[in-house]
Amino acid sequence: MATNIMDRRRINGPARSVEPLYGPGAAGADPFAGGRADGRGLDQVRAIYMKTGPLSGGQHEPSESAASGSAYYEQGRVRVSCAVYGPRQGRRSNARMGVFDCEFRYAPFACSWKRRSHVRGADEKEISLMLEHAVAPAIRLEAYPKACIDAFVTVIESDGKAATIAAAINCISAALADAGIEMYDSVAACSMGLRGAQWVADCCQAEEDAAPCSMLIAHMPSADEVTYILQHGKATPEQTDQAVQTCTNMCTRVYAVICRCLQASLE
Amino acid sequence: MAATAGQVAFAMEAFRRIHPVEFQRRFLSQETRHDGRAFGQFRATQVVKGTISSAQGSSTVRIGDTTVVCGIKAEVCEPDVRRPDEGYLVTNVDLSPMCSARFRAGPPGESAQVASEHIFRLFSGHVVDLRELCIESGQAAWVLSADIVCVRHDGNVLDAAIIALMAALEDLALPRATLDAGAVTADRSATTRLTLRRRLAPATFTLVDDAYLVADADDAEEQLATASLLVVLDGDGRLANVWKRGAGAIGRADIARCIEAAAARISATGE
Amino acid sequence: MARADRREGDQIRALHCVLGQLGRADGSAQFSAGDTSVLCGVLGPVDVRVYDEKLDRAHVEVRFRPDIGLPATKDKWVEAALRSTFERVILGHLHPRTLVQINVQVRQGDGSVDAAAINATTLALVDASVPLRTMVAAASCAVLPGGAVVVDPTQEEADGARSVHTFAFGAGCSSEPVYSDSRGDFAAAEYDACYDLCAATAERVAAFMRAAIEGKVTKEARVGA
Repeated sequence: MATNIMDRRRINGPARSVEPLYGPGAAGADPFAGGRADGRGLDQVRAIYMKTGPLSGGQHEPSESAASGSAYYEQGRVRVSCAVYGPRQGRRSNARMGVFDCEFRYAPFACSWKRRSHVRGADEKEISLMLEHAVAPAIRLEAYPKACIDAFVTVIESDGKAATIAAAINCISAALADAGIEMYDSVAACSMGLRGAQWVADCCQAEEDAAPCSMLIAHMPSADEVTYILQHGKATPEQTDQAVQTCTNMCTRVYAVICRCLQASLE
Repeated sequence: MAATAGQVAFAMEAFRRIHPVEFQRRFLSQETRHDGRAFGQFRATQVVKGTISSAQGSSTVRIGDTTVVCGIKAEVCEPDVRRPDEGYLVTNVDLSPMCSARFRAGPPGESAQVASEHIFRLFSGHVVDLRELCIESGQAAWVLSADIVCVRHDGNVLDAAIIALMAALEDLALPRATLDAGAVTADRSATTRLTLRRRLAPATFTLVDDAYLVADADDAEEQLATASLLVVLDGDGRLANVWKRGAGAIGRADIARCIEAAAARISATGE
Repeated sequence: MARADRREGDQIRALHCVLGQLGRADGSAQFSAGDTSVLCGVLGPVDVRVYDEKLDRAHVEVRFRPDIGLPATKDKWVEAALRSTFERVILGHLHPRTLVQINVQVRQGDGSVDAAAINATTLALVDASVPLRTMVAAASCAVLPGGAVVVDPTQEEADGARSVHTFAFGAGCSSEPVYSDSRGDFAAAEYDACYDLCAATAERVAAFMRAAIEGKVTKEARVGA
């Protein structure tokens, strides 16, 4: 519904607002007609830029209020920022294992369609849980009894839902490394969309809308273990098998980029 | 007995963490600041417009380590019955735990609410002519939702937010909209820019530890702040806002000096 | 220059205050200037929540309620302004690990509500015998489109004004405002003029408040004797 929820703790606009109808544009056209719009190969991931620690490369020591670790991740037009706090005192004092909590949010202007409400949507809660499940296996939670590690992820711009989730996973991994949290391996994630019988890597929003099936895989390349698989839409079992194979390979390539960025941040 | 550079650095880091107040005082009493700036010196400010393609207008502003992103989404609504020729400008500042450990998850806290309200009062009607947002009198108008998200908090977020909103409003490309048959159709290929009545430029001065008046305080200095003074000027050198918060003493002469310093800074940055 | 209510430019509306009218609060005051009326009740020093407890001073909490509807961001803004003003005016170190709660209720708002809220809070704090560093008095003024400066503007005057200024001063301390908010479109010279006008007005308001407190104290002394 287009009804905006009034909140006394925010500046409120009118009770109802809608997006205007945009005139006939490129909508409905096949985004794959004549190759991909941005000229990428089918197995090519968008350019990745990543930075850990302060965004502007602060010249002085961060203040105490700064997060334990933070990262900014950009993949094409997908932009994600993450801060990690911890290990800090957990809510359950007798837990033998640490707890990893994640809060995923879209900035209100992050999506190309309607403005997102400030109320946390069901999709944001769902994605938060997915991120927890995807990243937690990499963390040595048994090394942090009674503690909790919190990750706060904000999507500044989104372009493809699966690609955004993958970017969030990569961003959290980098922020965890920046915070010095003990991990078995960094988790690298990558998404794909089905196009005919062909899997296309790292779909943007227009491509994802046209794809009958999308796949997201989070993978720990050094350990060669998959931590999360998400498939939306329909594909044959053979196609799914093939997707897992191709996607893990791509994760390894993304992993190499993340590792290089992390190394660069240490130097 | 010469200590190595590493030992000195470690001792300093330990001192900073254990005695943050005394650490800052040592610098301030020597007429300098912990990041090497002079009292009246602002941090480098970087403004990039049009950073977000999913918003109709956007900007990213960095003041030192403080980073804010502002995105404006334009949507269509029915105008208020009392003001049928006016649209809306809705400004909200978001301070989440992502930018600083001081903020908690959930609904906006007091500082976010105060910042949102202050910016709303400064801009709505004063900078943006709300009548310009009218599509069809009494039928349809634009609502500009400007959300200012703090990505990293290292002090002086209000300045950064005002600069970011100003830049995003300048960047805003409003599609040409027409109302027919009860629906608003917009044409992305023909866009207009808003005529902004004033170009606001802020400068904040903070009284640290009741004794030192510094420009553009960072997070560590804000923790010791007993008062702060926000001066907002427009392009013609006229004042738009002088706002003193906190009970620390900023005298009349100091306020006058701050206004001059703000004007000097704004003319220096060519804004 | 004619004002709608036939006041002179530097003339404030009729002031009125009632001290100690709330039975359950430790101190209370109602401060009215014309149609603007604010009621303030102070509790303190009282027990503090563990979360807010400060080892070296009292915790100051302000709640500001508008005359109509539930509190929104604009009320939070005033609340924050009141708290930051009074946090250090109250000698909190004399009552460590306690709470001073200030409840402000706007009874009727017709311009200059911020100033009236500050004045009501000062009176209520004095009435509650909370130790204060100084007595704070506030005044506001507006620059009308014609350039005329009017003190204690009504809502109508403030809405049409080019700029609105509110200042608060400690007693006899007009060189250092405790609180200051000026907004609109104004030049530095106008700011100075408004400063002077508000400082002079605040002094008159302070004298009125002092007389009101003295009146109450003498009355109580007479009853006690």
